[in-house]
Amino acid sequence: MRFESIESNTVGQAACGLTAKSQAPGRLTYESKKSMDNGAIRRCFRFMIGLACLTLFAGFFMSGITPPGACGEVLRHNQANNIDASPLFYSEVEHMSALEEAVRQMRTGARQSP
Amino acid sequence: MKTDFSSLWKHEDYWAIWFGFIIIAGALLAWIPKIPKVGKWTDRPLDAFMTVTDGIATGNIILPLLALMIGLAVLTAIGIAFMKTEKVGTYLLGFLGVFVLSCLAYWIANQENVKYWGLSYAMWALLVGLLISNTIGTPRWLLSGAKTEMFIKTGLVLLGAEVLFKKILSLGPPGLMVAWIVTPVVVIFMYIFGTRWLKMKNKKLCIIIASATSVCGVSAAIAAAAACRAKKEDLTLGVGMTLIFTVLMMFFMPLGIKFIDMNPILGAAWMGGTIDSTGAVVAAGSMLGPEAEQVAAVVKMIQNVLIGLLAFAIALYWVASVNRTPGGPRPNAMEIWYRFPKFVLGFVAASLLFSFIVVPAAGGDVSAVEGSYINPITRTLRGWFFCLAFTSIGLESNFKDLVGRMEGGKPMILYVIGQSFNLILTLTVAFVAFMVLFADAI
Repeated sequence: MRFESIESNTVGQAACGLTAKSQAPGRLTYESKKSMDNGAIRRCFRFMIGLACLTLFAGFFMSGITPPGACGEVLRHNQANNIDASPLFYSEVEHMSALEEAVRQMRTGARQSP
Repeated sequence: MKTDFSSLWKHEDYWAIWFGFIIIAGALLAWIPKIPKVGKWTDRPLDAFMTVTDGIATGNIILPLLALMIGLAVLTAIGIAFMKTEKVGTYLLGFLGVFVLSCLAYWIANQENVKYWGLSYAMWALLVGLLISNTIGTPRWLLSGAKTEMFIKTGLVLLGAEVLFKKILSLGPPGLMVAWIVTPVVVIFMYIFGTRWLKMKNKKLCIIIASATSVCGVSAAIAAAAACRAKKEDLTLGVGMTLIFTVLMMFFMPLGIKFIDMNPILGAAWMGGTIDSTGAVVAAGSMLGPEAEQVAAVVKMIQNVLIGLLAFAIALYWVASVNRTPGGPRPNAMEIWYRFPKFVLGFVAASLLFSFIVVPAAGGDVSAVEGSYINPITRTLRGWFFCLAFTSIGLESNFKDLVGRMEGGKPMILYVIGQSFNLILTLTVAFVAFMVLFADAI
């Protein structure tokens, strides 16, 4: 199977520290419990840092700040004219029909002009 | 993989077709109401979940979103139950989590200023998933709902409904020349350059990057990855590169064209043929004026239609050539059929259905078909399936695997060289088409 699935929950198990052995009842020693707690704290800490980075990253783009000079010219143009630059496929462009119609008229005009 | 009748309900490729066509039938028979989507917002985050009529909030979309989540969960759970790949209860719980994370990705992507940057939901869905998988680790219950392949394949079958062949004639011969001559040449050049000259071991990554660069960015990357059954990490790399370069090209191409005082129509055709995503093409074209915006968008649209042929060709090439045993005999037609990714046929069938049956049945009125069936239902659901897929990919990926697939930066070199070749060839063909052969067409 491609788009291959990761092997038997390796990410989930390894990251959560939950292996079959450690889940078995009565097998947890004091040390292993303590190391699991430390691992959980470390993972939570990593998550908080990651979340803060993602929030800052998204926040930067949400703020409306544009790069200075020529680098931000397109962005400022998009803001001024409310142009959505995010569609991935032509059908996602809201005014695609209007753009097509305008091209059709342009071609008709070009054919009719002497 | 031998196919017998049980494959029809045991194999994911077929389920993607069933899901896609159940939705398409529901849309055509008006059984499915308008699909809710997370809305745009500027500075009030909750606006994304409001319904707005004439600028006034009249309600919210929480209940419709819940209904959508339940509907998609039940529909896909039927497939899961037949395929027996997961316990249905576990899958439903995981799906709920993945759906909520996808809503979060859509919510970030739909902030107005984010949209101006051209950063789509695909990127945010990947980042949200990667955040979880690379920090706390994706819990098992959540992984159960991350059915990447199923979401992507179903989304692609639905995307077929948006690939309307009538569109290819919108700009006449010059548009066709720019979009349909350059694109296959660039795909083949990049694939050969990557595999023979750069000696990249990962042929699937080569074809993903080649498709994304030459056709339509993320959508083409998804189609190519699914057609050659690539790994998730390859798709993530391909999508990451195309997203970054799309923003850079959107920023700098119109400035360069203005700086050298190029004819705006020629510049528009050039950008339409080279910038990866349609939104960025519209934004860059708009910098050169309304006519340039229109021409650029339509050139890109004509190129977008190639996505179905591309997916079909890649799938065929992969099963007939790349997956062949070295030194072994050429696979016969039955062998090719056994190995062929069947959902690609669903994708092509959906495109043919809408192009040659639904649109003619509506009197050739493409806008009516788009307004009644595609935009409110199949397109929105396709977006949801892709968003679920990218969230799932993020949840299943880790940075170490991604870094390990970089082969010393070869994918980046392939992108840069391939895109440079694309820029030169597109400009040449656009000049010949729009300025020499069909100078009076526009």
